[in-house]
Amino acid sequence: MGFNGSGTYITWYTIDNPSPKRCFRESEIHGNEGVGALMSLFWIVIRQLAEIEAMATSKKVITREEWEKKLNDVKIRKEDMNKLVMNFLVTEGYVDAAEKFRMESGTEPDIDLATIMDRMAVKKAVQCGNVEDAIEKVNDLNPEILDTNPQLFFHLQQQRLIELIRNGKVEEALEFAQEELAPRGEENQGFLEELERTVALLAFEDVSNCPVGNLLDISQRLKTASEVNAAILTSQSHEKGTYVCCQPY
Amino acid sequence: MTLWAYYWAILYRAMEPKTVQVRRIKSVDQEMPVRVVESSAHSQVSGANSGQTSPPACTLLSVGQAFSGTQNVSNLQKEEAWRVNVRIQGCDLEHGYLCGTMEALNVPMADTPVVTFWEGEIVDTKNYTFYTGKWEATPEDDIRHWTKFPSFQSLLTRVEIDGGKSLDLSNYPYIFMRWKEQYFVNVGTDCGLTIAGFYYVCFSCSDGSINGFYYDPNSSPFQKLELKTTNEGRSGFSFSSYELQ
Amino acid sequence: MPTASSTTATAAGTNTSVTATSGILQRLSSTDQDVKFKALRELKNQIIGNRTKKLSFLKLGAGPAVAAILAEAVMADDGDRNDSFNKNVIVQAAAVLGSFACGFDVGVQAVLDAGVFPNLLRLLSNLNEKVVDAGARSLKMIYQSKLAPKYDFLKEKNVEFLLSLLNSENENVSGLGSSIITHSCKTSVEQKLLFDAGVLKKLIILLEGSPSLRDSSLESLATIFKNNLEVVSKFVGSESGRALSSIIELVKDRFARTRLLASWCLIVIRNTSPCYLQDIAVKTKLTNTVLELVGDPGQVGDEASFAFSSLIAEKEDMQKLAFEINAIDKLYSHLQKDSLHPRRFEGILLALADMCSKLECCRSRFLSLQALDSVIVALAHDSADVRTAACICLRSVSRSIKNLSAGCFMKETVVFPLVRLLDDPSTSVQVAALGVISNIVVDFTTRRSSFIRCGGVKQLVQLSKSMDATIRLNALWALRNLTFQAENKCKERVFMELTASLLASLICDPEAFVQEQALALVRNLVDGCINSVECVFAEDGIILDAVGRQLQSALKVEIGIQGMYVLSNVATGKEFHKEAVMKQLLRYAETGTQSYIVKFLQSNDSRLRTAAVWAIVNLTSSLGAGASGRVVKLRDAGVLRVRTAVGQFSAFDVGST
Repeated sequence: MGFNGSGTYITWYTIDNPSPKRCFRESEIHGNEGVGALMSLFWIVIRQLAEIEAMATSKKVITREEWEKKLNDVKIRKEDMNKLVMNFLVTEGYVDAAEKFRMESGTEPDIDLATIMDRMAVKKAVQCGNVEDAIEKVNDLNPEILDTNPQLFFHLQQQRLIELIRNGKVEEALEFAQEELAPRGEENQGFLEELERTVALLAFEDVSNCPVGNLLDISQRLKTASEVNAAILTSQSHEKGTYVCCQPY
Repeated sequence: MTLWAYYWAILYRAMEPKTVQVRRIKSVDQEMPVRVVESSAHSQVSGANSGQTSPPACTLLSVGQAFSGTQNVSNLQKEEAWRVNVRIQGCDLEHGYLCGTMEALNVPMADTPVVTFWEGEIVDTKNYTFYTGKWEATPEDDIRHWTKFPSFQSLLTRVEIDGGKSLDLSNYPYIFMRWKEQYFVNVGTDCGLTIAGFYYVCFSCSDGSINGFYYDPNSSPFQKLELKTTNEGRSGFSFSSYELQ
Repeated sequence: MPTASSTTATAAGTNTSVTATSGILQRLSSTDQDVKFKALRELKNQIIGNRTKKLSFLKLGAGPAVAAILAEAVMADDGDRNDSFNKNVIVQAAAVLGSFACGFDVGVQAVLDAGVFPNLLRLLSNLNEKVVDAGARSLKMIYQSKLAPKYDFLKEKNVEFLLSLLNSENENVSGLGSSIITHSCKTSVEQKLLFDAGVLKKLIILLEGSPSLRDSSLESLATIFKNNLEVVSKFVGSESGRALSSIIELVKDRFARTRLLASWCLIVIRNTSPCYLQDIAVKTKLTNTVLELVGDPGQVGDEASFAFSSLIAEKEDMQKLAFEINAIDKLYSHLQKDSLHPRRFEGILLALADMCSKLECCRSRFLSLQALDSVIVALAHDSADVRTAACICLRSVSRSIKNLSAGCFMKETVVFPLVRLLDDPSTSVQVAALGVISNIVVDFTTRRSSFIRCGGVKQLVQLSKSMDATIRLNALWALRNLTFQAENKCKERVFMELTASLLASLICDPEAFVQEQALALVRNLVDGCINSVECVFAEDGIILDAVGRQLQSALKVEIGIQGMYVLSNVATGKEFHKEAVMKQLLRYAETGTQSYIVKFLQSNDSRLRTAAVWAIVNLTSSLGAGASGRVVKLRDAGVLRVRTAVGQFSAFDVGST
């Protein structure tokens, strides 16, 4: 696989956590479908390698040179690569591409391709800020998802709050925070802190310059969307030991 | 030291030889020819006499028992000895573990008695053999010290082969141990004494006496420890117990 | 849904919420099917993920309302695969009921009370896949609660039905099957029955399914294995261990929950018999995995510490293995996190307790990390479970004689909070605190005074009068250890607080284990300084009499042992004391009853024989002036059969039988 490394970098990689997070720049993931897809694919491979590495040697610092050497030594079978590609297409919701790839390579996806549309609709709704709509769609797909995943549910509600604040609906936002989010905060200390951070948005005149302003960034929506995406995917997947990388990053 | 003038081989009515073995031990030391062997075991270090599966041990080596005597620290220049009291505080036969305190009185240079806490390894050939394998003691050092105990002589040839692994000492009338002092209880490390070395110890089940030799490459060799069981002014032997939860 | 409001946020929140809630309920009973359907869907979206709302809707009677809609729709169902509107109503109603029942016992109860169970079951045989899905999901939720009705596997038809569920292509249905097993399989007969019916094979196949299906089959597998050697051995041996390997494989799964459940399965297998899972690589992987899961921020982490405890409890080899992979350090690092959830706090403390229960190297590591301080802080935690766990942890750590001897625990910072816990409203906290105190009062120097100074003895004596036998036991245990080799002042203090009559009554306690500790306490009290023997003669020898009575009727060997050591210790006193012991020993001789001493001397238990022999030895010791007289009496009573010649040395050996 050819890859032009310009514009990306590998940080010094300290593996002390089996699920590495944010070790690499990832803005490419959401780029255009052609180049972006390939780039993202590359990151997925990297993550998988990192995970494998982390399993084998916990608490080990790997220098950049070592890392690159290891990377060069890795050989990937064609079938695995095909599965990886299929997985990526499915995960990221490229239905048409997945269908074509299925026909060309004979690789069967682990998920009924028809379900991708539903999932993409949810994802899109969050990305557009229609969180309430997204919640209803998730509940229609599978009511267990939000009932058994308090963190995801909280993040969706938090995103709803953020959208209310973004739209200047201050009173509605306060009311919503009070009624929907405060009880979750009582159940979980971590949620309470996140809630406080979010409500802090209301305290600033100029939110673009406030310390919690990043909550209003588009990246926050994408983060939430990717979390929902992952949860739905998990609930639908039949795979075992494949390379789906559905942890939210 | 209390003298027991004479003793009974206590035989009981209806006691069948197959259930209780009564035997005579030719006592070397005729002061206290009593050996009461019990099966006492506990997976925990404990002072309780409960449990079933462990080597028999002598009641006189159980927790709370006290011993007193001397440690001879003579060198070429002068004869010198200090008084020593030992008390057993913990015993875990399954793991070959024993511990307690050792109090040295009238120690030169020290104005108070010096108390140390020691931990012991019982040479049960299961947890520990005659070979120390640490504390700067070579097998030669080990043999040199063990052979100072007359009761060891008969074991020597077997020990030289494998450290005694093949021996069954569970009914041997002597218990061999190593006692290693771990810390000073009541004084600082600047008390002028060292606990760098350790003791080779031999306990006699038949009279409750303890003999030992202190080994420390940097101290005078073969400092002899001689202790006898005490009964603290009572006419007989009393036993306390504790049990950890 | 919240609407824009002009009043203050708080008032608005409450108002809209109440209006919205009752509004939905009203619309649920609308005759307009469309309105009703929309209300149902709105209700579903309101309650999913929101426990507060579930409660408030249930309070307003949403349970029966939805149940009625379901019943009506089921009745109206024409079996047509595509009567979409009615089917949609069923799906929404079932989803609402399932959500009410999700992870929440109050909800399960409400749903069951509304009588929906039969209707939900009927959905399973519907032709429409979505309806089946919805029904199966809701039933699964119900079966995840202990309130669900027990499924009777012993009825033949029921096993058949269960197998049909497990065989279903629909993952929600097969998942329901495994939830039923996890919920209802309790006895070894049921385990065997399910095994024989081939359920295990099915569950192994389900491990290939979706993550949630995999998880529920792992749970069922663990349920069927639990403590059932027969089933486990057949399973492990089957297909040359291939099924077992598939579980081992899942320990490395990507999902934390799956890793945990697979680990649980292996732990259950290993705890059934240590001969399984001997492979060191598997054991290490398992230990590592569970330990790592303790760090999981969610529910998995909360449960993982309990799994870890179960893995290592009572197993020295596993503790050693865990120690070598730094379990103490890792657990402690989790303990240091702020605002731990009580359940997690408890779990980590108990895991540390198990780690430190046997091995000194673990305790040393624990103490060297200064972990003691964190545990002491936990003694004052709001949650009784955390307080109990903190005590249990301290109890394990304080098993170190080396540190007891160094006075590591007999410090005000440790003793004071513990003594305070003796007043705790929770009995389990009290018992656990007594457990630690029992250990730390085994003090080999003179630091016991700090315990006495803070009122510890008074408290213990008070608790020894408790109505709760376990508290009496542990209070006496602590007093017994406190008086082990204690200085006279301490023992006098204990005796003064206790009084002879209380001690005598405790010796005759209805519970044998209390009797044993009471006797052991007296044994320690009469040891040491010779004057201490006197205490058993107080109040006309009430204690000595009680000891004699217990020995005559001793049902437990341990009571015989402790009682004989009491007599043995008293017999080391003066002539008068020895004679009193003689009187006790021979009390029953005149009546022709065999004296207990004869019985004890012939006991199969060498500990009891030893104790008895020491009493005789002390009585007949030649130092006592009346020794020869006592020998004659004992011989006449048949206690001594043979007397060797006076002056002849001999030894006896009552061991090695």
